[in-house]
Amino acid sequence: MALGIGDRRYRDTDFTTHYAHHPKAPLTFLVGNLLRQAYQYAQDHGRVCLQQSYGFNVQDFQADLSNLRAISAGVQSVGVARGWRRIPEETSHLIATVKFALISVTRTRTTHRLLLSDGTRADAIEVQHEWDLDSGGLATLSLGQLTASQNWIAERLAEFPHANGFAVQEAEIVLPLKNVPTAAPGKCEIRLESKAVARATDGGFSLNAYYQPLFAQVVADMRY
Amino acid sequence: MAKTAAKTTKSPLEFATGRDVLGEDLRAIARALNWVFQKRNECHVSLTTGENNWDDYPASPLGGDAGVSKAVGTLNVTATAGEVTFVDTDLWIDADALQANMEVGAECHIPTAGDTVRVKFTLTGATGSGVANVDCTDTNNDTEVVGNIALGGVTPGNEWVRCVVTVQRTVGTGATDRVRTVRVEELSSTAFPAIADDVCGVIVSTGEPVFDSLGRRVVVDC
Repeated sequence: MALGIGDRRYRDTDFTTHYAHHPKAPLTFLVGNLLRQAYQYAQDHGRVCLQQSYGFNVQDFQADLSNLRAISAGVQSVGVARGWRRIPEETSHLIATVKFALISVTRTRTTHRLLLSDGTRADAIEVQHEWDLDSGGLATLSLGQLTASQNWIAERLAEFPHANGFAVQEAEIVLPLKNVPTAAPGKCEIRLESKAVARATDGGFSLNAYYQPLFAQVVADMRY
Repeated sequence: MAKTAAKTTKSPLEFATGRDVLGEDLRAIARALNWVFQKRNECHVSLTTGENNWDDYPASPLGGDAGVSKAVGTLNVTATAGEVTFVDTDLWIDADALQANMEVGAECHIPTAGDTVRVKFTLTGATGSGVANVDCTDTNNDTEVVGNIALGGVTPGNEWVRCVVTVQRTVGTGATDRVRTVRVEELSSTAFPAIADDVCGVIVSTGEPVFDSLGRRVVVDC
């Protein structure tokens, strides 16, 4: 990378002590600290470049469930967010944070895929997470019969109406940029895709699961 | 004197006590600071409609899956007369924006051949304004169309710039034309604010002499 050294991450700097400005004080501390401050400031610049929210009408929840959002996605990924951005110069990573509900009562595996392309070059990553929904505490809906506390369900429905009372999960997907040049920031396409598959009785992951996206955000950051 | 912005790979650990500090070091650091603080592109408005989980987007060349066509969402553009306000907000554009080059973009999904949806971006400040019409047709379906606005007239100093985005179908009658994304970005530039006597970006004030690599005493300018 052009700025900074290696993969060092500058997290803090020293205050420049007053004696650094004394006429006889060595300049080295001051100069080194200036560099640290420059690097830290440059690195500490995560920028939101894509946000996607899913707004819902609670009344329409049955229709949504069957037609719109909750997807049985054992094989094919579904799109969660897509957009076009200029990636700031010296961006080294894209970080996606996605909130979603898994409408499932068995252990479920999600696969998120984050993709970036400037038209000719591309970077992509796939991240798998497993969610222990059996013992996860709150996701105890059994095909229409709610067994969680009614108070909790009301609260949850108010927060995320379309989670249908299921626990809201959050996953982070970090994409290191290798191929997409950012020195001359060009317009890039960003995609976030996902799929979910639930565990079958034989222990394998083969059952369709419903994945309900709620909110997704992609941030461009300088992490090296 | 124009400022110079440059990146450096110098390590702070290089400056151990006792090491000579050379004129080049200070120049490199001042230029690195200039680079850090120069204007980089910023996204002011980023909206997506979130229709139908994006399922009918085209296959990605990157290995992404093509979506499955789903029922139509609710943000269809059905009006053929008049503009429908889609976004109405204020942007904060600061003093550096003397030559604020704004890039705007919109992506539409237009399955009906021949239809045109116009997404109009109007940026209005107290002393300058600009308009860009982004026309999306079925030939640029599912990809972003870009326009540009140069806010050349905006007064130096802080100023609110109002951003209004309207949508109008100007050609056609299809019932499923829809807008997917709207974007307003301020492009990066290497310009710096004009501040009197500020040519260096960093001021070194010390009695310690500064030498270049040949041992000559130097004046630090940047």
